[in-house]
Amino acid sequence: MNLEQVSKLESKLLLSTYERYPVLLRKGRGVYVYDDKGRKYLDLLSGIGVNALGYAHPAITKTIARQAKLLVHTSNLFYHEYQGRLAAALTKISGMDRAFFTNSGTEAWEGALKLADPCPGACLSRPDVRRAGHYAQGKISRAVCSRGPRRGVRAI
Amino acid sequence: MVPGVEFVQFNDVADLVRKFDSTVCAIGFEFLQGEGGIRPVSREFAETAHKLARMHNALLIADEIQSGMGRTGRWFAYQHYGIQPDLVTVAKPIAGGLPLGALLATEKVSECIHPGMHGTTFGGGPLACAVALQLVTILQKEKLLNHVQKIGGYLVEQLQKLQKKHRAIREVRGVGLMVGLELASADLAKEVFQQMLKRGTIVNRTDETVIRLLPPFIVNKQHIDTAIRQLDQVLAQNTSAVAANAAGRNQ
Repeated sequence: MNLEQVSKLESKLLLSTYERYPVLLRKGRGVYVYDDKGRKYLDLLSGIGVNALGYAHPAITKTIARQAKLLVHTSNLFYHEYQGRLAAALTKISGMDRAFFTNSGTEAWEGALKLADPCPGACLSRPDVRRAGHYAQGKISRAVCSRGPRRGVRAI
Repeated sequence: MVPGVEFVQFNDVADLVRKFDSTVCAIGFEFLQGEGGIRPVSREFAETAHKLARMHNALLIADEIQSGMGRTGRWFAYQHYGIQPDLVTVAKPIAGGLPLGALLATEKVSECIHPGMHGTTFGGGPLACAVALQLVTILQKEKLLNHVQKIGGYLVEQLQKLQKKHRAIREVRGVGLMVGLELASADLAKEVFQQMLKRGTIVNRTDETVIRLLPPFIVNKQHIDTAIRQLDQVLAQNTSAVAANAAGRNQ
């Protein structure tokens, strides 16, 4: 399919949430991505800050392939060896103590709000958190969204 | 929108103090705003938020989704301020392009969570976590945070040089490889990002007038020089076009 066909199909079938750049991407290598016609683009946006190591980094590709052959999904009913090790790495670099893993930033933020909204009944024996219990009806001030709800939604 | 959320004017310490009382359970912000146009929180604002959170037994939440994992030349943007939050949200670059996010918490805050209270089916799967672990290893082994500091400094320097040449550049902001270029108008910003794309370089427009750059950490001087040369040409062309339009209207 070419760009015209893809965009026609999407405009008919997808919710119109995005204004895409008129480019159909096929592959990426290092700091470059290539479109369906083989045109090369220097990517200074890295998928909105995601592709820190660029595209098709050999070690990342190798890890994906190796793990895909072993185990892709387990649910959190089971142990696998990587959550604990990743938590160790992340807490070390951040100075924090524990981690909870999600699928996206939005979910991480949702988790933060859930923790900030005090846990009813869970911590009644601890004075400091019990006091926080009153704050269930309280407010969460988000400077990040200082200029209106729309930006707030996008910021997370 | 989440109910019970109140917004504070960005970097307005008086507004923050006015709105922060004992009914507030948490305050969260990006130490370096991303979608908001690459704007750093002032030291005074960050320190006041920290102090007020401690005073009222509220949580300080650092949103590091865009600025975290080395993007600013340190692991997290709050580390530039010497402030330790109670909760940190991380995502974007964490798993080399696979979807993964993390919520990091202090021991004290963690004590509030017990089995069954919160969970996810997909979150923290072996594929994404194995890749994330590999990513952290590479960032450390290849000393990429140092590189981000150096190359980010070079990028800002080159943009500032460009600013001297083009009055349409109102401000250059950023830390590490999280950089914004404030232009004179939303139309110009739109034109610039579209014409950069035509020339084969991907940038992005955010907050109407800001050209945002979030390059991969492996970017080098040669890539930046290419982009700067293109920006120079695009700005020269458009500023003269805008001037010609204005002259046309005046006739």
